[in-house]
Amino acid sequence: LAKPKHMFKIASLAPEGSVWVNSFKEFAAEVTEKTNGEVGFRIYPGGIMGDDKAMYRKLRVGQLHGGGFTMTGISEIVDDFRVMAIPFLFQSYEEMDKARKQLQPMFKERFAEKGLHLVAMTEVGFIYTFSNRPRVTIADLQAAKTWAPTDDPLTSAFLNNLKISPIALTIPDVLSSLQTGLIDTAFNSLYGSIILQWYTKAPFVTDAPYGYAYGAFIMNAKAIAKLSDVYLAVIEETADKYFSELIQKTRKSNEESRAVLISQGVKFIPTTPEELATLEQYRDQTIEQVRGKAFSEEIYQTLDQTLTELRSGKDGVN
Amino acid sequence: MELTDTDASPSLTNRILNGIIKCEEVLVSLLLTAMILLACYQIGLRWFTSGGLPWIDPLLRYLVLWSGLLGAVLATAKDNHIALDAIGYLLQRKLKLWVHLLTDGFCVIVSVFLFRATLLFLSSEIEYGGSSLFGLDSWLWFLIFPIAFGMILLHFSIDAVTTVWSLLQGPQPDKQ
Amino acid sequence: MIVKLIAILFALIGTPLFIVIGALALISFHSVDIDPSVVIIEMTRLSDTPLLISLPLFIFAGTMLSESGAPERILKISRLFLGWLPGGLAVIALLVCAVFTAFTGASGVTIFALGGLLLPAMLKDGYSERFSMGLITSSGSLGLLFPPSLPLILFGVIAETRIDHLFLAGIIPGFLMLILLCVYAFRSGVVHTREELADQHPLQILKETVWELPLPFIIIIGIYGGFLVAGEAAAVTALYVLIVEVFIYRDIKLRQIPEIMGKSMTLFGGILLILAVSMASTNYLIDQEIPSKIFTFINTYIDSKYTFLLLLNVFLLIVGSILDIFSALVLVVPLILPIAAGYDVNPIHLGIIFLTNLQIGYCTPPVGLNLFLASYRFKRPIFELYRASLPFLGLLLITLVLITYFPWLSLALVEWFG
Ligand code: NA
Ligand code: NA
Repeated sequence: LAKPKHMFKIASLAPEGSVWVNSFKEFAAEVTEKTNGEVGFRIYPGGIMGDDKAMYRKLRVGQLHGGGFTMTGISEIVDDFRVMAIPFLFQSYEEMDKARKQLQPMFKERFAEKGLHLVAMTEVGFIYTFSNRPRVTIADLQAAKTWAPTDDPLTSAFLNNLKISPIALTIPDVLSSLQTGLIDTAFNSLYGSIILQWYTKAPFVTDAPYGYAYGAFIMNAKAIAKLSDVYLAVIEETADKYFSELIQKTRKSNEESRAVLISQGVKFIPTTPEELATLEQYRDQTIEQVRGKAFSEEIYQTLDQTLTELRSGKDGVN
Repeated sequence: MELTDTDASPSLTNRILNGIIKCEEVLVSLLLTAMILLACYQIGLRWFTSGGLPWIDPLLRYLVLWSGLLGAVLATAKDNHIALDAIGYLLQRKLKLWVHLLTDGFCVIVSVFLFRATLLFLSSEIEYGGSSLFGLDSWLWFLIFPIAFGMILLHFSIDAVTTVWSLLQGPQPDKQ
Repeated sequence: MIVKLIAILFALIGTPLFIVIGALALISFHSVDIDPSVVIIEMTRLSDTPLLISLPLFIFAGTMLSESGAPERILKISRLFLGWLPGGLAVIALLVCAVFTAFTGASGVTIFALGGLLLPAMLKDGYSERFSMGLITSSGSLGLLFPPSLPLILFGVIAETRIDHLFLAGIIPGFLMLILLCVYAFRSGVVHTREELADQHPLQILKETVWELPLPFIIIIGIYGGFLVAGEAAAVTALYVLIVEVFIYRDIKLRQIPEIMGKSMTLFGGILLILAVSMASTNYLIDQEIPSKIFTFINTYIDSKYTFLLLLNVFLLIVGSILDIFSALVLVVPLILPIAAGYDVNPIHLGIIFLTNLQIGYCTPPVGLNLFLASYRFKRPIFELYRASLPFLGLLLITLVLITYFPWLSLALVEWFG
């Protein structure tokens, strides 16, 4: 067992044993094998290297060479990256896939401008509203004690328009606060709500996704520059294989989670088209406020165009 | 400071030192008061108006850092750090001063390197840090690191100088 | 390696521990060619730790309480309620020490603030000097398992476990310890005469303490009633104590506040700095995957969780009698946590084991801190205190065994309410 010539240290917030970490390990093993053991990865899962900000700082000074970042965290560095998190935007996985494919080259450029290499995008999935009782109407939501992640201009602006003043807590505080009643409403993916056990304290889910959460596997461009083109190509190819597979796996986990949640007594409450239409109006109002600020005009145009084309069926023409 | 009685050290240095300590005390008191009031105000807002101000919690976390690190400066000034003292009880006063000088020297050297680390951190943060609370650059919020470690270095240096001074003064009657 | 040994030697001659740990972190990162600014990056993580705010606020509240007339008042009201019991004053001493330590966190404060009141009272009541000193010395750290104890909060901060759960988990083990010591006190059987209270009407005493009695309830009802998170409970406690001691009892003058605040923040600063540098040194260990290497090593020799726990206890008793509780926590918890997880030890249970051990370490000869403090406070040779605290130490060790091998003592309430 010789030491790899290039050892990359990669950190992630995803817990050991989760789909994200497992897939990364498979990816790493295959890269090592294909490069005859010359390229190796060491993974630090479960946030032991700190949150997104700490990971980014360590990436900068060279302690880490890469990381699995969340959209909220890394968007503080590359703000265009948050554009896909606009609430009530995507209606299907097809739309997401299309948007991701269209935007990824632009994201890559934006990251490159900051000296970062976007290896692959990852998915958390559709985000749902979890609460201690059915909350479908906007009045219901306004009456709730809602949690929001700290430092996210998009969510803040949207909730502000809905006249909801969220209670900012960090993720580790959410479960205990749900339990004690400090908050009664929170957002998460179905799989995430199981991993973090939030559903036990907030067993009513509004059955219309609030938004879409995702992340990115990013490496320091300087660290990668030392690799030969051949090895770089191996990383890119293997990443394509495992990370598109990961997206499918994540979706499968989320679907399985729905069944698990139902078996645990979680109720999925249907919403009405009227409520959705109102929420979409608020979404549009929010977009007008934040475009050019929370993300660039250009990236929003590209996303908007992609979705319009897809929805009007022009997609096939290209 | 326990080893350097007022008479043995130059009174000017002592007056300056006491002045610095007073300032530091007032400063941490203000920060602590702000913490108590802001946190309670936030609770009041949530209880009586169904929502709080989003900037209070992140601000509180920075205040904890600032007040804690300034408290650490104060702990250095008052020679009040958590330490083992396995052999301190056994030594004579004169020998104690020499040991004290030795540890002071070590503290000064390590503080220099810690201070240097804060500067390296700061320059990287200025370049890449992005913005933080109230739209201020994040390095501004972390400016407390070089300030605090700089002050700690200063206090250790003053202490070392005072110890040298005590040694140069020659034998003193033991005051206990 | 040699440089690291020299740094450790400096610790033994009284160099502040943060300097020693900081030096070790700097040297370690240098040896693997990692930029020293990582040391500071690790410290910035402190600003992302929402639980941390409860430390300075509870420290301030505790300092205010110990500088005020609260110790006398608490003692008085306890005598009112429990003075009639056989061994009543000893029981009172135990309870008062427990409550007081829970609020002030540091055991030194308890011995200094209460020892001077309790020892003469016990001697006057006919308790032997040895029994009295032993009791006060060993109960100087009693109460570390009850909310809102600072070391418990610090464990939660380092281990990233839920503080409300830790608070619940400590209650049964804490009472177990208290009850065992109380039974021993009953057996000492001195009946108190109640003479000092003769000049005061019970209602008068109750009225005097009426403002301090709600303190534990602010925390319990605040947190478990869903009104406050732990950090907020600390803020409310701090504000409440400030108002009560300054404006109602007027024990503390307004102009004394900066000094008391400075004192509290000095204590907090010392703890924060140790925490900060040990985060850096821990990060080096994580970077080099040392905890998992240690686990692999230990695991080849020890299969059983129970053997592991036995060794852990021995290790922690030694650590607890050498290091002060805060540095012991910040240095040892990050190292043990992943290893204990490998043996399937519940982190909440682990926290209670840690705290119990470190508490006992306070009064373990030869260097337990309480023994030195009591020797200083009561002006008695240290060897006399070794002997005096021995029976109490024995009882505490029995509870340690029970707490270690019956995890449900720690976990029952968590499961019940969690
Ligand atoms: Na840590
Ligand atoms: Na100790």
